[in-house]
Amino acid sequence: MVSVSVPTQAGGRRSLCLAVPCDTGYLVLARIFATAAGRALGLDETGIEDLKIGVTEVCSGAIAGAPGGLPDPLRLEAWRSDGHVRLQLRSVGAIDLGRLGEEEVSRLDLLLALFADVRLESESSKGSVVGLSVSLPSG
Amino acid sequence: MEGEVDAHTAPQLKSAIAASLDRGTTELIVDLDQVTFMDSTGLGVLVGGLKGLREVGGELRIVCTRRPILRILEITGLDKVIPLYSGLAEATSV
Repeated sequence: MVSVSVPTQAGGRRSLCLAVPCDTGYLVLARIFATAAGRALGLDETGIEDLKIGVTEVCSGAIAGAPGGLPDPLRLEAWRSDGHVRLQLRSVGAIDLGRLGEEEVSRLDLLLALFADVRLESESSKGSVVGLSVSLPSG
Repeated sequence: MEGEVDAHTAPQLKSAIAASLDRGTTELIVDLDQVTFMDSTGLGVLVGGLKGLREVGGELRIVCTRRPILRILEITGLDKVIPLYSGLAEATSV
């Protein structure tokens, strides 16, 4: 099941949300969300391209972290804060971003090349959260 | 190639490169000009193809003029290890 809520008040902030099944077949939908959210929140085209990569990598990491699938969807949320568009992915499972400097290009390699503040938190009882941000264009 | 390359679609690219290697190809040109998006999975497939070709003394070349794709090739440093060309004619004339 896919659900979109635009906008919501999550944690007291105005945000755009998408819930998608933990399945690579929905990565394209996550990118459509990134494009729409980035545009609505004020990113330029380069920022939107970065956000599309960020969304794809974190969703792919969540899918890789749950090889058997998950009972609950992946939950994406984007909002604007302090000159940035912030993106967060919540999963009830693990998020596998790979390791830096792996033989081939890992999700973490690409995320750290594009975003200065990739944050991953995992709690076995509550699942995992990964966050990143894209600077809004100045002016 | 055309469309978006991610964890869902990259296996098709991987299979195509593997099939070329199986046929004994030593010079492979991957045309990314109609590719609108590529993630780390797609980049990993290209690196895997590069390694496979180098093992047989071959070479991988990429045709790409799309800015978003060029950008991730540059950011990850792949533009330094895989020769990039602006068109098929240029890539085949090497």
